Amino acid sequence: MLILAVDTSTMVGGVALIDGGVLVGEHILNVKATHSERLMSSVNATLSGADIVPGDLDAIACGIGPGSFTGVRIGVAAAKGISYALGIPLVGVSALDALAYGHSPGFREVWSMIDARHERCYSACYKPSLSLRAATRISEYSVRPISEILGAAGLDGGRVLFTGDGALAYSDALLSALPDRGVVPPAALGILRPAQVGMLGMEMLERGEGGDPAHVVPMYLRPTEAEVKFSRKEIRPDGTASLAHESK
Amino acid sequence: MQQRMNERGIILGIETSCDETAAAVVRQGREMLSSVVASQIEVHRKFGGVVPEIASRRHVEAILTVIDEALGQAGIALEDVDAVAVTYGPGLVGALLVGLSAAKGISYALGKPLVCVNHIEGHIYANFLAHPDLDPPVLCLTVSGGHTELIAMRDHGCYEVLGRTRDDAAGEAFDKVARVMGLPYPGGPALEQLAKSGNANLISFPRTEVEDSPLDFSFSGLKTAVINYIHSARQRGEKISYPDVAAGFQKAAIDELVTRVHRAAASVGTRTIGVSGGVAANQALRGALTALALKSALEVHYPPLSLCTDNAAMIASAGYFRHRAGEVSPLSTNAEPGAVLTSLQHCSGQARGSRIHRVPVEID
Ligand SMILES: [Zn+2]
Repeated sequence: MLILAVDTSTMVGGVALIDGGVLVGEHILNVKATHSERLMSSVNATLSGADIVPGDLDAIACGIGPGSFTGVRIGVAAAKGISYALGIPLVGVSALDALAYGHSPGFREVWSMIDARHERCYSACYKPSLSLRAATRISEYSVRPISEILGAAGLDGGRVLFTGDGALAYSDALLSALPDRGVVPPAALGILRPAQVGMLGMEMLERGEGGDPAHVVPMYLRPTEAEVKFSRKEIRPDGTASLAHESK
Repeated sequence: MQQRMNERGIILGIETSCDETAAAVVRQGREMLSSVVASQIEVHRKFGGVVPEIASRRHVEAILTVIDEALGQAGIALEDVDAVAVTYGPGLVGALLVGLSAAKGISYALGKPLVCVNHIEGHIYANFLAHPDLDPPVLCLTVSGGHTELIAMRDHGCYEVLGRTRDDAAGEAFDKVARVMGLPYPGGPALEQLAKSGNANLISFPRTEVEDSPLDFSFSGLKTAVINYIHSARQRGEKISYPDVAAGFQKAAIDELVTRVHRAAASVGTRTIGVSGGVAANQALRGALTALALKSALEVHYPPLSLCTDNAAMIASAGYFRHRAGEVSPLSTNAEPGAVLTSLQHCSGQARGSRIHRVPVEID
């Protein structure tokens, strides 16, 4: 099975090509240019570098976040377009699940952390597998303040891996909370790899998950600000006092 | 002119610049094979306006269903599409990016050219879809909740912006006044409905002129005057005749639009007018422009209501003519929330040679 994986959940984004579980190519850019400008050239570089044409692909895997709302949608919408046009299955892969993919069972816990700003992270806790493949999630997906993660991590003892751009951003606090058993990878390795999205996507497809690209939706973990304000009754039903923008 | 299109000229259009998820299939820029619009009005109503993040979330959920429906209704297989046209701006950036990214994915996967279209240019082309015999030059008035532009279109893809709003768009002024009156969202059509039972001559609101720019628009002064009228009447405890206020406001706004069209037609010497955008659905505006046309021997064109508001058929039509002229957009094209209308490459030379002769404007 030849799988194209795309991920634009975080600022680091890119593309991986996986053939029967073998990583054929991976293209990652950690630059300021938006995913909108660089995603398709990454796809093209990866496929053409491997002498693959889109029609050769068997399936698409895409990171569905959580992360930047707009950033995630760029990758999801592009993946939907590719999958629909080729008539091949699309599987949406949680960026948190993907971050936890492939870590050593020497860690008692793996915390996937994606920076949600204001001292919060999109996060989930996992138990790594003996096969170094998909990890088992043992917490809710949630937006957690760093303080909550510090309080919850490593309660069962053992080594704890914190990974993802959220872990990199708050590494000092994480390491001092669990001296000697907290681990944060170096910056070049603590990022979400498109290959992780592709490998996990392949396992999900083999389990029969994914398929119709129309059904794939981003994982936001957060309602919109307008919905929050509405539920707090800060917006009156006639729309006055609303923060909604005028249609432009 | 470079001819890259094969004879079928079948364009898939995609539009997600605001709160409508839309896709359409158009042949040869003129023949609409399908036009599917998934409206989000109900979703945004309780917020009193379009919430950009909610609009973007809806777009990414709906986009493929809408595209699939458009192809299905047209009876066209994706392989038979010659190019994918998509709105890249102006609009809400997060919303634009959904349609643009999906279009890029389809374009890349199928090896079909991508043609990025300016949303205003799309509105202009609604009239070319609706009127198969319409040809440039056309004086275009595009009025909606987001824009108010007066554009001289000399040829396909060749534009000169003659005037635009300096503040609120016309439709925006309608929506804001409607909101102060307590009318339900979307306010424009509700206000038009209310104005039908009012007398437009009882309350006179100011007409704004933009100094030294007789073809530019300004609606914020009018909007403020109406809102002040309502507030001070409420403060004095006076009974307000909302139908008369609505009718008076609508008349003032329409007067401003019609005078600019009149001046522009005289200035550029174009007798053919094309009105488009959501406000082009306003019957009072149509009536006033039809009266002007009779008086001044102009020919005014409107699209049907379904092509006035945002749709993807107009994007496909504009994309067809751009592509026919040899234009292909790179897959690195970004969404541009403030995109300005640009003419095709070949227009610039032509413009210098046969620049529209601008006679001094007579203001009556
Ligand atoms: Zn519009």
